Amino acid sequence: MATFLVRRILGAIPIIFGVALVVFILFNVVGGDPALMMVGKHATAQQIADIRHEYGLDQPLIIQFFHYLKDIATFDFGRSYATRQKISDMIANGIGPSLSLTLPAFTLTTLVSVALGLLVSYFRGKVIDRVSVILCVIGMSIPSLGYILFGQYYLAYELRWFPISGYDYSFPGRFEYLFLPMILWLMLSIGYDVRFYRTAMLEETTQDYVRTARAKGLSEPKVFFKHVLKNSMVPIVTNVVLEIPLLILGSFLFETFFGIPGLGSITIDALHNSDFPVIKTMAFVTSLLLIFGNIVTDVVYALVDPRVKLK
Amino acid sequence: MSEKVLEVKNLETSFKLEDGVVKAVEGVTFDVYKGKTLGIVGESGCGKSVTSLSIMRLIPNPPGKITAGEILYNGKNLLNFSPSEMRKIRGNEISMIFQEPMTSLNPVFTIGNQLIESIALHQKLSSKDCRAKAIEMLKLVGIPSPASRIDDYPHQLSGGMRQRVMIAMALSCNPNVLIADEPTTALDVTIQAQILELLRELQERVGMAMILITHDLGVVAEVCDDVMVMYAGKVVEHGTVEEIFKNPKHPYTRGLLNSIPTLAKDPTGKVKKKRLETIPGIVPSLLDLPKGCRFQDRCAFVLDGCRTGDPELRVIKDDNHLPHSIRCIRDL
Amino acid sequence: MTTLTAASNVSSDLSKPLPKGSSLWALGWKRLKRDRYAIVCALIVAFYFGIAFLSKMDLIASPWDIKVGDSYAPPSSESFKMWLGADIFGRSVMYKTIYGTRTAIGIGLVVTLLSIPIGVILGSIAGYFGGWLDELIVWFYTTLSSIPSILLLIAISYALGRGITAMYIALISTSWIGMARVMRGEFIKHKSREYVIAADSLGASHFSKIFKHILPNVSHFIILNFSMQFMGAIKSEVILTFLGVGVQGIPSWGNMIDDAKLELARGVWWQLTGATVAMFVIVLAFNILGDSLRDALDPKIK
Repeated sequence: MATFLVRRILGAIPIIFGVALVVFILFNVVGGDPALMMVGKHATAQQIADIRHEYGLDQPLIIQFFHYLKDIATFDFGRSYATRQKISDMIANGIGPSLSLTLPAFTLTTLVSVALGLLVSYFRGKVIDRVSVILCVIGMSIPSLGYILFGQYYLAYELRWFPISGYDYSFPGRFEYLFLPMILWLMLSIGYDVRFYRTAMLEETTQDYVRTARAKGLSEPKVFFKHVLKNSMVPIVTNVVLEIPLLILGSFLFETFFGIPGLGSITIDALHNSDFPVIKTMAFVTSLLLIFGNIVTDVVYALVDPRVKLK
Repeated sequence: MSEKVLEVKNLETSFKLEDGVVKAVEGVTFDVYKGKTLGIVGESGCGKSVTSLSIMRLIPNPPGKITAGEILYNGKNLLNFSPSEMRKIRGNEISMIFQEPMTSLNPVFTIGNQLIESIALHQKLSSKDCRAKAIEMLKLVGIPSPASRIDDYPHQLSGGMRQRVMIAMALSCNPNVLIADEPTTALDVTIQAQILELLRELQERVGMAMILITHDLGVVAEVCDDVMVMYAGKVVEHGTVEEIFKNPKHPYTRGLLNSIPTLAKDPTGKVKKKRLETIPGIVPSLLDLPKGCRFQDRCAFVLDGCRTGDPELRVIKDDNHLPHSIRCIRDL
Repeated sequence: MTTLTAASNVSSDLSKPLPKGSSLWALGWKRLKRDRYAIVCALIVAFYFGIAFLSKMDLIASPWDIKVGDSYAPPSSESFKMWLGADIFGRSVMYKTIYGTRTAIGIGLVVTLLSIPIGVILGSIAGYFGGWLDELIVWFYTTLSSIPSILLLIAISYALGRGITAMYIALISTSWIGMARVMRGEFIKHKSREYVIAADSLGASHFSKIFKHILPNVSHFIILNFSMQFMGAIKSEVILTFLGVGVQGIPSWGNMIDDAKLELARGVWWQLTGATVAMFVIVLAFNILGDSLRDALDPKIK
């Protein structure tokens, strides 16, 4: 297990390096001159030169890249242009609200979808199954933005069941604000997820081992809830892996709509303020989260499938 | 002759496909006797597996359905059984092993878990006794150090070992009938022989009836008492092994026999190499069967009469417990 | 025992043509034609393409940027342009929705037509040649896909300056990856198949093996990917535009939904409805069509 983790982390290093390279190229090579952006259009040539020198921007790109790698390794991301706050502090403040929204929303969505997927595939071919498939396809075709907007307007503004937007840092208090985004998140993902899990489970029901289980004389629920479910854990985990990047997109959309001060809101604000170091750092940090998430799911794979060895 | 355990009468199983309904099996009739083995032989797609799954009532529905006939087990028609009655038969009275030992075991449970599941389902034993029985079964089928192997996952065993586990599972409740659907096809030749030997040995010990499905006439000659040859969903020749091997009457059976490599001796005792013969053409699609005999387009002895009427199965010799019958209008 | 001889009358039977096998494409087409939903959805997609084309030719919904009624005039059935009412500047929401269709279809076409060839070529090279080339390409796309696409899109838009070109580049740079992954996997599978080895032993060049032998056998994945990418591009445009890094200055569904954010509280629902319904219908059509294509082209289903 430990060796597996070490190997997996070592394997992630070229990818992290690649991410750093892409981010560096986008922001320091292709993008405009950072010094110019920092001091503004009306600065004198001397001011610009000073800034360039102060930030090491007058050195060759390769040296600048090494400095960037060093900063990354020491988690020193500099300060925001707009607020002068340390970016590492901004991340530390933003990650709590982001995780408070995404983790429960994602867990809830997965649990509900797996349960429904199992249920409708158990009733495959029956009316309940057909109706569900139609609802799923309709659900997954609804444009997310229009849907969130309408949900917020109707449930929060018209019916006043929930606060329209905002956040409360106190512990159970925050869920008053997070409840509506979570429900909307669930409804938004459920169509795709249920259909995916249903297909995965139906695929399992055509496997030979299911025939063996039936040939033993096992009852249909036993065949289904023991043999099929345990095997479909593998596609379930696969789907969860595939959806981790969507968590980040989701946090962007929902945080923007509902005024939740998470990483998504920080990035969008930075975008509107052209806050170069913050966007750059966010691109790198969210990538790290994604890579880390993939390592975790690899471990989970090994837990659900004895054929996968933690070597 | 020993008593009949299973009688299949006029079995017909149909499948609804995109292009229409096909009868995968039509008018199949045979008996299985206690302690004896019936071989069902034919090319892939001839209906052998459908026949066996029909007996277990495991035809996937939709698209398949048993549309006619009777399957009498100890005189009672299985087709009238309720699903729960049928579940008491499966794995307990009639067991089945499949062609692919690689995929027929559930990959995410230990073999012990799957064996014990079978035992616990049909026998009233404590969980400790179930485990003991499972270990005993593994030992019976020749798995070395069964007490530790029982906690292995299927992928940790070789193909032959997995097939042994399948056999242990099928026999764990002392069934009266064992259906073995190409049990050795996916295995190496040496392992094949071991598995067949094991099946024969276990049959002698328990006295169960066996249906062995195969495309390999060599296997039939070795293991079976009776043999039934199927072609395109119908029985074309049926009789005892001795009779059929000595005196094959249907052109298709002859074709099958002639496509087995043999070392025949000529009258002087010298071994001569015989050229292998093949059956020309391919099996007709069940969607597009010719009028008349289904074998006509591949038959060397075809007559005009073969193209007009579908021949009936007729008895040509009746001096055994099982009359020799063929579905052919010619007397060759 | 009578001996069996290969009688001569058998050969005449063999001269009869064997039952005709049909190619995956022919079979797929046959299945698709029978699928009524697929036909309807294909017609819907064709209708959107038609609208986009007519709008491109300035034949309908043109000009969109003139005042046709009062600010926030509600929908009325009196004239086509007022069916969906007017926006804050009194412009026809119907015309904007139509122009938005043109924007969406345009983005879908540009992104898919550029990203699919990139994905196919890089994926097939990686899968076919293997070795360091494979490792490099896999490293490249793993890196790109490790950056959450929304942030990569934002970063690219930021680096290149906001606007539609930056968005094209951003969308293309993320959407080729899926195609490349599929192609790489398929090429690895196919390159060791007998037919490729046979071609190899006949002296076929790498080029001929990749494009003449393997590609036609995996081409159905391209069609499936096309419908997914197209839909993905349309959805991404809306989200990016909404976040302020997408289409600017011309109507798009994303812009309309962005406007609607402030309009809803005033009871102005028509702009949101126009954009959402227009998008919903085409995405639904693509979803159903994609499913039908997958079923029709699945070689496992016979």
